[in-house]
Amino acid sequence: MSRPTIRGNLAVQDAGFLPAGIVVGAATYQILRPSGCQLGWGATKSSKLLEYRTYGQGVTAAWNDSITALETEARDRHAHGVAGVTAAEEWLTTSASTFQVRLIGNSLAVAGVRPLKRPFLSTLSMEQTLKLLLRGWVPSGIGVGVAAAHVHGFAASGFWQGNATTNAEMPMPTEGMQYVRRHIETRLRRSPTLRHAEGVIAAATHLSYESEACALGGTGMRLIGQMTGTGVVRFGAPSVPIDVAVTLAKGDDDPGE
Amino acid sequence: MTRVSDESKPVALPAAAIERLRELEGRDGRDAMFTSDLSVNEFLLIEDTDFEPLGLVVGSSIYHVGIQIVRWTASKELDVLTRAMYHARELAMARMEAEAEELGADGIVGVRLDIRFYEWGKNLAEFMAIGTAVRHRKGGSWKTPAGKPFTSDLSGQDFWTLLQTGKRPVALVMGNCVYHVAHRRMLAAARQMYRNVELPNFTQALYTARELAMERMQYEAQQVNARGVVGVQIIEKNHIWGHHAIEFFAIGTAITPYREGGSSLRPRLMMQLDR
Repeated sequence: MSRPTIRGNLAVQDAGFLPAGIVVGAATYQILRPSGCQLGWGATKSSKLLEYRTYGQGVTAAWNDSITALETEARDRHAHGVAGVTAAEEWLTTSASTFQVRLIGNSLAVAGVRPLKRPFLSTLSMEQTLKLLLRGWVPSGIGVGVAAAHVHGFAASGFWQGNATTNAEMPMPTEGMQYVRRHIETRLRRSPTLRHAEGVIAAATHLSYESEACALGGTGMRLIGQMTGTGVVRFGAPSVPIDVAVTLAKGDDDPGE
Repeated sequence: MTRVSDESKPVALPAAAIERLRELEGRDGRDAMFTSDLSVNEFLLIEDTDFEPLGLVVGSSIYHVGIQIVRWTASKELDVLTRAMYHARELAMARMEAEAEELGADGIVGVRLDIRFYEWGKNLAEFMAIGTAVRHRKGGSWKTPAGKPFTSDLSGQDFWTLLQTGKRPVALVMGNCVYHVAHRRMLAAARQMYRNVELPNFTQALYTARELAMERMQYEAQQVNARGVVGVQIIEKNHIWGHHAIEFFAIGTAITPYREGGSSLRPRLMMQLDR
């Protein structure tokens, strides 16, 4: 996610886009936070993963709603796209289960061209967006995917798996990670797919692992994954070739520095 | 010289990975769509070389690293730990390559190998290999001598530059060595107090460990008939073993020429007018 710069603004203006103002999208959700598996709720066989489905779906929905709000505001301004979208997400202090996502971006419009039904959205900076445009690609939308799962204490312990002192792979935590990875990517792809994107670039993946209570005994493991990226679609042939240059600028390897 | 681990077996992809790859290829009924962590510059440069991204490929392994006890005055390789650290990376790499093969890729660019030890499990570490699978639009022979997709930790920019010079990546090669550096004896430490003096046992131990890691990496490069290794990094980390046990990890991209004629790059000279 990027911050708008004067240089970036000048770059997109040079490409024919006019700034149409800052647009904001936000959504606040009440989401059940993962708190370890408990008997009577969520506890499964120790050899099975437990997905925190409500959490994953809730956070993804909050993101998607804020993206929709951002897009609506851009459309109301007759903008053709929003570049340099920055995001902030936080659990509000007013309540332990209140989650908010805020998106801010710079809307852009092309003078004399009818507004699009759905303006493009991009987490890429103005400069990066311009590079894509010059090479025949246009950002199509922001994608986000969130998933969380619990690995039971028995499966997360080297001791209980019979590997207290030896080298061995841990199958259930490995599977848990694959599971979270798959779900965040599947959910990430939903929004760009609806916008006919050919791919998602600059995807950022964040995976976190924490110990947490396990009703089946021992200390379980909580895996939380989040992935964000920008969808891209080709609209034409590149309008400028790629050139190689040796720049003479003051740099770290300059002996005079 | 042999590899520290010879436990290479055919890789079976987990169900979650197969489903994810099906979605990437559009086999689930939707249009195919790639996912990539490439930056805009990398994406555009890779596209300029006629390679197209197919999707993010990931291999991971959560591994229990065994225990090895050694005399505190002895400098020696901790082979149990060396094998564990190598084998877990190899598992992650092999799974990533298997995902790329499943996508029909010619290679994987921008590979990163990460290791993280976590508080929830003593001696448990997560090894992850992640990169972007690519395929050449015009086909050709881009795979390794073993018929697997090439792997490279070069950035999109370096990959583009390498291809312009008539070379191509063959495989990501690595070597490691976990080494116990002996503690000084009390009498020796007392004798050396307040003096400038080389500590030969420390020098020798670190030197040996680096050499072993480099030698293993070079051996892997020879196995894939590489002409050289570029972008080599030597990473030294204690991980969770305290100050006297260090892992030396050497990694780089083995390369080979793919066409005659050398470099097609003709850089232009540009002088920036800002300071």
